[in-house]
Amino acid sequence: MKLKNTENFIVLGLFLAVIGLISGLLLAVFSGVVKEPIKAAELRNTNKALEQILPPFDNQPSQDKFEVDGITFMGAVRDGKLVALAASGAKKGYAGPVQALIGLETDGKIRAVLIAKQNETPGLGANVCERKFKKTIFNLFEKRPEGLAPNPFLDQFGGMSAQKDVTWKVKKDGGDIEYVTGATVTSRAITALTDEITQCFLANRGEIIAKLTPAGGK
Amino acid sequence: MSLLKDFTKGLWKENPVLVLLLGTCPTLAVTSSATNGFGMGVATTGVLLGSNLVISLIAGIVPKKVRIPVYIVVIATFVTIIDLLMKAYAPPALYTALGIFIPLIVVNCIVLGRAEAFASKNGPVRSALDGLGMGLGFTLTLTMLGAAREFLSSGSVFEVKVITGWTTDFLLPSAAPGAFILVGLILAAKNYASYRKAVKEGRLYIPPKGLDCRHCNICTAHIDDESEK
Repeated sequence: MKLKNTENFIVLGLFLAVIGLISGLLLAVFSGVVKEPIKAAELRNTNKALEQILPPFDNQPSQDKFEVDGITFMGAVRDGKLVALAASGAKKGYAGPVQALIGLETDGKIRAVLIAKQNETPGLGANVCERKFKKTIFNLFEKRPEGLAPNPFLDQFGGMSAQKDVTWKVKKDGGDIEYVTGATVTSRAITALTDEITQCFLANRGEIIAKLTPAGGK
Repeated sequence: MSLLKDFTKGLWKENPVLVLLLGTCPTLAVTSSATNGFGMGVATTGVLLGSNLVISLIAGIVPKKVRIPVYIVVIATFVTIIDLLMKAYAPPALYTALGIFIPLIVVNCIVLGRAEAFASKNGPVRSALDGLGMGLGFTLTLTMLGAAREFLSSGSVFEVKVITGWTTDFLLPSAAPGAFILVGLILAAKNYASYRKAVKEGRLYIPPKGLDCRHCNICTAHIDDESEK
C-alpha cells in the first residue's frame, strides 16, 4: 500500500494527528461515561471512612465542612448537637502526599487516625498507613469484626491530645511516638501531620465549633 | 492447532517474564504481594488484548516511519481506559496499591514488543490470542512471584497468614533487591531445566536471545558450548 511506505513528512504528520484526534475523542467520551461512577466511588470511600472514625451521626459530614489553614474540619451532628469532628489534611510523605483523616472529640482528643490517600511503597511505608484485619488460614472463613481494623502505629495516637505532655516526634528524633523500621519517613510525616491538625484545632477551637454546630442547636 | 499454539506459547515457552525478559520493571516493582502481582497482571492483560487487536487491524495502513508513535498512542489510550475503569470499579485498596504503576503500562516493553513483533504481522484473531496468552503468562508469573515474595517476607499468601506465629516482617524479599535475587534464581533454575532437557534429548541448548551470555567472557560457559558442537 502507498500509505505504508510513504516518506512524505506532511502525510506522516497528518496521520499522527488523525490517530491522536481519534484516541483523544474516544477518551473524552469514555471519561464522560465513567465520571459519575468515579465520583460515586470516591463519595462511598469517604463516607465509609467517616463512619469508622466518628460516632453515629445523622448529617452529611462531607458537606458540613469548614477550612482553616489548609485543614478541612467536618462536623458529625446527632440530634442537633455536634458530637465529634473529622479533620483532613495532607503532608508530604516518602512518595507524594499522605492524606490523613482524623476523628477528634470536641475537646481536641484524638478518636482515631486513618490514612485516606497515600502512595507509599507497598510493604514498607504503606504498612503504617493501612488498617487491615489480619487473616490467617485458621480464621479464614470466620466472620470479620465490623469497624476499624487495627494498626499498631496509627492506634497509638488514639486518646492523645495536643494539650497532653507528648513530644510529637518519632523516637528516633527524640520524641514519644513509636515508629516502624523501613517506614521512618512515613511515620515522621504522619506524626507531624497529626500534630499539625490537633494544634490547628486547639488554636481555632471556638471558631470551628461555632461554625460546625447546626443553627438552633447548642 | 496453530491458533492454540498462539495462545499457549505465552504461558511457558515464550513466557514474557522468564523467557523474553520483557517488562522487568513492573515485575520487580509491584510483586511485593500476590494480590498486587495479580492486579497488575490482569490490567496488563486487558491492555495487551486491546492493543494487539487494534494494532493488527490498523497495521496495514500505518506508515512504517511513524509506526512506533502510533502504537504508543493506541496503547496509551487503552491504558487510560483501564486506569479510569479501575478508579471507578476496582476495590480502593487495590487501586491505591497499583495506582502509580498503571500509567506505566504504556512503556511496558511487553505491550510494545508484542505490537511490533506479532500484532503488526498477523491477523486480529491470532493477535488477540497472542495478547491474551502473553497477558496470562505475565499474570501467572507475577502472581507466583508475588506469592513467593509475600510468603518469604511475612509468611502470608494473598494476605492470609499461612504461618500464624510469624510476626516480624523480613524486609529483603519484599524490597526491590530481594525481587532481583528471586527473579535471578528463578531464571537460573528455568535455564538449567531447559539445558538438562536439551542434553537428554541430544540437542544443543541454545539460550533465548535475551539470556545469551556468549558475548560476555566473565565465565567460560561459551567454551563449553563450543566443545559440544
